[in-house]
Amino acid sequence: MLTKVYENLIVQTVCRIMVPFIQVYALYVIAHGHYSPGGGFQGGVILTASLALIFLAFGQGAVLGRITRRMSIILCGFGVFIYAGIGLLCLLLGGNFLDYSQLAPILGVSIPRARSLGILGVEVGVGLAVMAAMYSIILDIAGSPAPGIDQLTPESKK
Amino acid sequence: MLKKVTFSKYLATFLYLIFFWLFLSGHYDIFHISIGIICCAGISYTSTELLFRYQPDKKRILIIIEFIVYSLWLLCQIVIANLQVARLVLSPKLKIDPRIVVYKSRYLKGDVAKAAYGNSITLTPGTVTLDIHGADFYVHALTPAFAKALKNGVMERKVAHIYHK
Repeated sequence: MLTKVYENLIVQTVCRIMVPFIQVYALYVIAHGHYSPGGGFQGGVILTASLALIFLAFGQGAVLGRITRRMSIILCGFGVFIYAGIGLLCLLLGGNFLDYSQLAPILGVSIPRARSLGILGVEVGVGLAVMAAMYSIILDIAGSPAPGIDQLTPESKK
Repeated sequence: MLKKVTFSKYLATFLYLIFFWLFLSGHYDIFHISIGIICCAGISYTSTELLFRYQPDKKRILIIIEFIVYSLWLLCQIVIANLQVARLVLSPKLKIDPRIVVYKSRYLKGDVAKAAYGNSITLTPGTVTLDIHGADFYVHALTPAFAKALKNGVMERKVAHIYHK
């Protein structure tokens, strides 16, 4: 378990500059899943990679200050809620589960466009759920369960 | 998260990220650009204090211009050092004498300048920055010639010229 924060100047400087661009790339992968290789799962994993980079460079306290353990579980459930919610909405509107054409009258677009937007919506849900689940897996594998864990200060060097 | 962040820093981060998004995405229609704006706005909100952590000594635009000029010079150095290492490694005698030297920097202050110099050392073949403690750079060099070229301090003066006056 990583209880000690290994501070390395080059790693910390380069990682903190790269993280926003990695996150933009992850959201690009999610949003362009219909056109280029990618989609929800791939973008979610890249988002988790950006968080794992902060974890490795700055320690557990820094990454928990961004997304706490509790928040990651909430996000995971919220992602699944978006996915199943869109599917159930199509069911409630009279079609099959995940039959996006039923969303066309609500959104006010043509049926192929509604299908495209419906797929994008579930991809967002998948990306969110995947990011949160992989993030909590990383914390379970490599984090330390000391009390007072969800704090902003980094762990003291042991 | 917006406690330490001014609006100009947020806007600068947002512009960097939206430029990156437009570079990645080939679709320049309203739908994709609006998705890009929403995504970049959200990421800028959480990541501005990552990008703009320190206040530099001189104007940022000057630093950017001088950095681009320096990177062109660095490219020449990389080509020269690549040829030297290739000649060294491909010869049957293999006259390498690897050593770790401590280089004490005199002009560099601040994290970004030191990281830039450390990365420049690593980028030029023959030398690799292992660690940086304060002003000491622990560098692994392939031959005494590379270590001596490091000690000349030409690269350090150029990097210090970028970030400090």
